[in-house]
Amino acid sequence: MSFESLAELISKDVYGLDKTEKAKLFGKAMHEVCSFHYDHCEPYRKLCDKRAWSPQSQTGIDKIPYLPTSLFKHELLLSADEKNIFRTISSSATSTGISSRVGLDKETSARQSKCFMKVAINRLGNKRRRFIVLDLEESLGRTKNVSARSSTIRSLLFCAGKTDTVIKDNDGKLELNVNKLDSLLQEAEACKEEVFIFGFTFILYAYCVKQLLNSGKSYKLNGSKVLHIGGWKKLEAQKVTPKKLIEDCCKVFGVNSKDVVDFYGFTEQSGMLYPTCEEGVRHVPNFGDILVRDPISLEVLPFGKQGLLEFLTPIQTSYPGHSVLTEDVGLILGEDNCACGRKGKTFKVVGRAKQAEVRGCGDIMAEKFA
Amino acid sequence: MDVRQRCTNVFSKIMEVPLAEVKEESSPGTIESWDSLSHVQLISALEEEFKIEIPPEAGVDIEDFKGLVSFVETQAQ
Repeated sequence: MSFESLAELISKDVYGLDKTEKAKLFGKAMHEVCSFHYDHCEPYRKLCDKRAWSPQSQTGIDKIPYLPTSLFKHELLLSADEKNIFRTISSSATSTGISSRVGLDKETSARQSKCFMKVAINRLGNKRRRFIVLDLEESLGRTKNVSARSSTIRSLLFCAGKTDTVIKDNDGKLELNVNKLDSLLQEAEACKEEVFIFGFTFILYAYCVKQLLNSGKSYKLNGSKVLHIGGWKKLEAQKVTPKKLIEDCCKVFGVNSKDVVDFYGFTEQSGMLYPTCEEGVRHVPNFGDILVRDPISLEVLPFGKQGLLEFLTPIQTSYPGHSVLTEDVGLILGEDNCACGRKGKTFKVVGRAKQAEVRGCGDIMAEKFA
Repeated sequence: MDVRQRCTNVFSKIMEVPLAEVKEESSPGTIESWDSLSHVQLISALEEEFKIEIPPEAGVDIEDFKGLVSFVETQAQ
């Protein structure tokens, strides 16, 4: 099946459509994809029928039946023929030990990569740089079943000119290879080379930034970027705020605060990436939308009110990940009015719902550190 | 040697696949060793071979070996 409106939506400047232009094209693309999932994924069709919704219903996107993230833990939901699934992505095992899984066919995988790359280039620039990764070397290689942690790192490597990993495995316990990191950063400073330093949020802070701060090391890496993604729950427990993390990254690496980029994304909609912009907020690209729901009534809340975040996107066609209700709490800040110049809704993630499990690659990876 | 042949040679060496197995439709889905890391090495090797720069944006539309050769051909002229 061809998804013409979806292809047109993806071909546009990633944050270039205003509210009116976007609503029309996004609505058409969502209709195409919702119809496809309704016709090809029986569990999703049953859910829609139960909620008295069909693709023919003339309703807004807020009425499209959403899937809570927990549903992706119980079975591999597919809208594509299982024999065409060539890769599955699993979320980091959570505190309950159950991961979410999604199956990708080649079409969805290629489309997700394209969307991911467009967002990443928009924020990181169209220049390949050395990538210093706070992870093990093996996290960069390919396997059929990919962890979300590994998938995230690999997805960003298209921006890399060269890669280096600076975490080592010491008898099953992970630790920072301080000497290697120090030597790479000193070299970058001496050559005025602009690099990317990438790590999962907790690992970046607790096992790198803090360690370098405590040892009195600092670098002058003006123009370099510090990129991080992953859960905040463990850092919150240590009373480390996003502001504190940015300040300390600037102190240690000598980068500009606008060059500390916090990515947000989740397995159930892999391919969708939400980096903080230069103003420190996240934007929804053309091929996505966001709603905030009251945690009790599940009614849609107005801008500025905190609730559960629901994300919509038509980019997955191998599985029904087009409308996902997360356990993340946040709020919508505005639309088409960010000082950075990007259009689209802006939002902030403030944490996890109280009953939610620990989740996020960085938080889970932290348990493997010495 | 033309651009295509030179690309084939570089690709074969980086991906460790025989020259005969490099086809126009070869893609990360068909070449087991074509992963993110080998892709970085491939791009660097092509930049070196042709003395060109391949920006990240070029990767957005390159889906297979044919796309890769087309891009290099336009840059290497």
